[in-house]
Amino acid sequence: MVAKGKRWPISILSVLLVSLGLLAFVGGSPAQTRQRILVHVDPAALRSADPATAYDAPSIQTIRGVYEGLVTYKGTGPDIQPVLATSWESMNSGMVWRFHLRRGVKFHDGTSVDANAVKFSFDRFLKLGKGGAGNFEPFLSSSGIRVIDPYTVEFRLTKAYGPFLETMASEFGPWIVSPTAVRAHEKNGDMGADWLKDHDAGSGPYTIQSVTPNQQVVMVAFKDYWQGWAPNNFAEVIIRTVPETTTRRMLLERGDAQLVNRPSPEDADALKRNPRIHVYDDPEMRNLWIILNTRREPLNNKTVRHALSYAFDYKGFVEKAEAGYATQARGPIPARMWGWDSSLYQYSFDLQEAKTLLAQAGYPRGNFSMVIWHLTYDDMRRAAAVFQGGLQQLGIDAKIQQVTGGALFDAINSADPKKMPDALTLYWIPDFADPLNFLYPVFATASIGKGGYNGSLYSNPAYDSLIGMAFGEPNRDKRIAIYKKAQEILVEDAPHLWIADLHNIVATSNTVTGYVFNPYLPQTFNYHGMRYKP
Amino acid sequence: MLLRYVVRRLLLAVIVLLGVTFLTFAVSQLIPGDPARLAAGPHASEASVERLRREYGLDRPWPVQYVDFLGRLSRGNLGRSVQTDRPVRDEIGDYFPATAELTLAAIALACAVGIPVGVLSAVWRNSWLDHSARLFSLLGVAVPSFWLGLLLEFVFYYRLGWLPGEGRLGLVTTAPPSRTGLLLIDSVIVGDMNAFGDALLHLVLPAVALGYNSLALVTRTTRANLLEVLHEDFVRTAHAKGLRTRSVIFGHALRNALLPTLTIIGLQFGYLLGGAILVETIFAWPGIGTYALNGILNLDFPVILGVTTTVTLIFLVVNLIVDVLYATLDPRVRYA
Amino acid sequence: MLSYERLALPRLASGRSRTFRRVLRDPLTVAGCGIVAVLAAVAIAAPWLTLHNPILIDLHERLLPPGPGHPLGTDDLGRDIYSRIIAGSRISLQAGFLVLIFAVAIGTLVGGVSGYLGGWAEEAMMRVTDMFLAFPPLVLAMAVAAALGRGLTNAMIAVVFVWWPWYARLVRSQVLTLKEREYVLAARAQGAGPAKILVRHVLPNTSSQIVVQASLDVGYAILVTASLGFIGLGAQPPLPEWGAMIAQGRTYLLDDWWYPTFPGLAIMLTVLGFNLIGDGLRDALDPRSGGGRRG
Repeated sequence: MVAKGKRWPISILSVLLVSLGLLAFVGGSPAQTRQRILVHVDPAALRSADPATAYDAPSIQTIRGVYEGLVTYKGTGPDIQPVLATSWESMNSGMVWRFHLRRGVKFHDGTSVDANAVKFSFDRFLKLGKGGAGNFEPFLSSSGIRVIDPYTVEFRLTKAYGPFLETMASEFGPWIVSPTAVRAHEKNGDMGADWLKDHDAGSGPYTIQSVTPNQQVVMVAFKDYWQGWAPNNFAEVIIRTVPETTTRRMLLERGDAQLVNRPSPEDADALKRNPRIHVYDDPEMRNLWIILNTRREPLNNKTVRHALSYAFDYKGFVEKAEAGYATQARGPIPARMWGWDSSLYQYSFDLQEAKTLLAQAGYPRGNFSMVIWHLTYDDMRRAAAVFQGGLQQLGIDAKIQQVTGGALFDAINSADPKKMPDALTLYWIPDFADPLNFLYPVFATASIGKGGYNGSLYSNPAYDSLIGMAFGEPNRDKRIAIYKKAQEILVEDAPHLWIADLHNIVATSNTVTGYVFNPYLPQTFNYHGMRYKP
Repeated sequence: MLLRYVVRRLLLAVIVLLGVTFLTFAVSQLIPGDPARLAAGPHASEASVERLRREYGLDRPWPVQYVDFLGRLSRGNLGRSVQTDRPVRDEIGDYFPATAELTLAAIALACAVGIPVGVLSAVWRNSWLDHSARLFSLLGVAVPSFWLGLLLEFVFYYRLGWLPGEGRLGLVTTAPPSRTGLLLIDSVIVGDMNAFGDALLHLVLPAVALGYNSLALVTRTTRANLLEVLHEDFVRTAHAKGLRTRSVIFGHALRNALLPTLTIIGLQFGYLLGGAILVETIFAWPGIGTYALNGILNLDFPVILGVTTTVTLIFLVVNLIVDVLYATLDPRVRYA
Repeated sequence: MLSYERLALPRLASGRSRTFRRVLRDPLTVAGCGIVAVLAAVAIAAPWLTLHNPILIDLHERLLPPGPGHPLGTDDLGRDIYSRIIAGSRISLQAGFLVLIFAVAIGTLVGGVSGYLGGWAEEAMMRVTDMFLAFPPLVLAMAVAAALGRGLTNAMIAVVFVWWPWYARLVRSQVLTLKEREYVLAARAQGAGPAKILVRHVLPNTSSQIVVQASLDVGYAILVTASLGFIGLGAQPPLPEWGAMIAQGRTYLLDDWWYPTFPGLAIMLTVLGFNLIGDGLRDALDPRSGGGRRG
């Protein structure tokens, strides 16, 4: 029998030995089985896989993999490409649209994609009224959607809407679901909403195998997908939630993940130097603004706003703070968006000019104070700091506050100039590929207060009527002309500082090819187009 | 009587729980922002937001909302998350086991290492073991867990590759069927030793990051209490009677010394539940901490209320168990 | 008795001068005093010790490793980390002390009054105290900080919310014990009112316990404040609070290790210092320690 005094050391030793044994046992994981699995690590988790109501990037990532719409955006640009619809025509100057559907396409449950499915999907989408439905409600209602024959659907709009096709290609909502599957899993009249949170009823290349909340989504290839499969397509796509940026990079570098979304600019630089990693760097449709409160003294004075527009170190921000992964903005719309006007005036960092303008406006030594809000994102934090630095040199005392999304939304929706700060940083990403989605919800008078996003409380009747014309104009060239004028007005009135167009940074292992970034389908991935390269 | 003690404590716990829910409710009402708007998203129409608001009863005055909440609570219904529209109870059921496993692992680590080291430290006082143990534990109570977590991950995953970098299980490992939600137990139940080993490996770094504070505290407390007890009269009496040192220690002194340690452990449980939030983010641990934090930041009232109520309830239960254990072991307490 | 009360079982206080000598005898305690003294000196002299402006950004100097001009490197906006840590010492020390002062004050008030009054008043107050104690600490702090809005002051208030119940319990159990002491009964017989008795007779005898606990807690209060800063609910940018610095620096760990590492070391050292002092005081004030340290 072991002497009493020796009991403890022996038990400790045995625990250690057992642990080492386990370590050896579980040791290495087989690498071969991983080849056709794509592991994508993303900062946020899926909230709901319901295509009609989901609105956040991680949910849409999954949805794009398992559902399809009538049309989508082609390649890297805004042009429209047929998917479930093979052709379409518009009549009555854009008030009626007819889509002809592709034959022989099946949903994952085996039923056919037909006009009834399309009507069912849109009816459901509009009835649930969440997420992207707000983009459709102004011009579409259920009664306007008609099944002409099993492969033809007609949309009668309630009012003329220029960007109709672009909105139909948006990734927020207009996906086609299988009525059979939805009806089979309906509970208490929820139209299948509960079941669709972690299951799918789509026709897309992949299908959801499992959802582990806050952890991962596993998608497997749908064998009968109508576009077919290439030999080195990925058989499985796993989206894993990893909130910590540094951890994501570690996973990629050690090969435990093959696709990383949004590495930090510094990580991107470091990853570029790694021969086994490929970094994609594309300007995207996301821009960063500093919104000025146009109803607050002295910012209600246009000259003061001009002065502040010269007080931001754009070059320093873009080249240093963002390490080159951003481009200085020119106007309210990102340069990549069609309709962007390259001849717009661009402000620069010019403290002399700023001081002159301030003096003109009656604030020769600054001598007023400002409060700047920003959300938790690193680039917003840096932009606020850069702005503060410039303001200080003008004698303006600026305080920075980090706020939650809730407080920000609250303030913007209140339309109360007293509730809003003097300045706030904001990103904007369009829901669909038309400048209207920048120019209307953010700068129109009707967008002030609830339902809109007019954070500067900017109100200009001339601007409003101009934008109103674009709403109903189906001809793209005519819209471009209208948008050009609108942009010029905004640059002149300077309700915002146009800071930067941001870049979409994605890093993959060299074993993954085929990733194509389409800025109109932001933050999501073309899993079916991606291939494994040994 | 022990029974009376337990009953009295239970009643107190209920009152306290009610108070806690009230406090949480009141506090969450103060958080600025509109949860309906947040959940609907910036592009949603005002009509959609209103719909959402009515769905979640957010348009009613808050005393009414609180009473509704209590009513639902008595039926075990914690409402639905505004962000995901899933029942909060289900979500807590999904996430809590992960945090529980991490917390239990941290406590197990703290006790398995802390108690022996504390005992040895006290018995071989002022030896090199004692000094290094004291240094180790002094550092331990001072180190921020989130900082330690980052460093551990950097060294043991990134540089050395000895341990996994995130999550509860590797990608190629299938999770065992969920009975308790605790992977270690579930995998043993079905005899899946591969999953067991993998889950254990994934637990190491987060548990150390989270548990190092507690480990240090347990070491110090054990050492201090044992030293104190060793000087007590009854110990010297036992010595005088000729009992061997070892049996004195393990027979009498240890039992008395461990009682305050038991208290510390109970209290640490609460601290760990909260502290897990910090460690969970770093290791992508799908636990209740990140769930709560997201709930707070997104003004998801049902989530905030649900998590606080549940976590507090568990904390109360754990402390009740600790108190009852203490009372059985130390009769003096029962009559206080 | 509830669990927390057991930890507050009273110990006898020894004479003051003997205590002082005992404190100085132990090298670790002296080390702790040294650390805290240095920290306090740094915090007081901060404006003179910084090499660069801790708040002003300089995009041309970003992410420089430790070297000439920047002994601890620079952060992602070009600010000198050494200067920010120095400036941050003020924030942390202030936070720690203020939180403790308020927590002790509120706790003593509640505990003292409830212990002395007894009856239903005591029950009610103690139930409220229990309520606060039942919350896992960080969850309560987070909820309060979120409710009040982000910012250092609100974070401190949140931490006070979490901390005061411990002192209420501590003081109450002390008061309960001392209530029946002879000098208190004598003072009562002489007609002294409750307030006077509390202030002149009861509380001074509890002070040693409070001092020990408080000195240990300053470090922890700093740690909790830093945790809130890490989550983003505490001090707001551009304030150089150590927890917030780690939060901002964590994405730079792999290439620019100095950014999150040094603030972490600062926190650790500070908490360590206060712990050493607290331990030393506790040992010195306890006559049964046999002259040695308790660890």
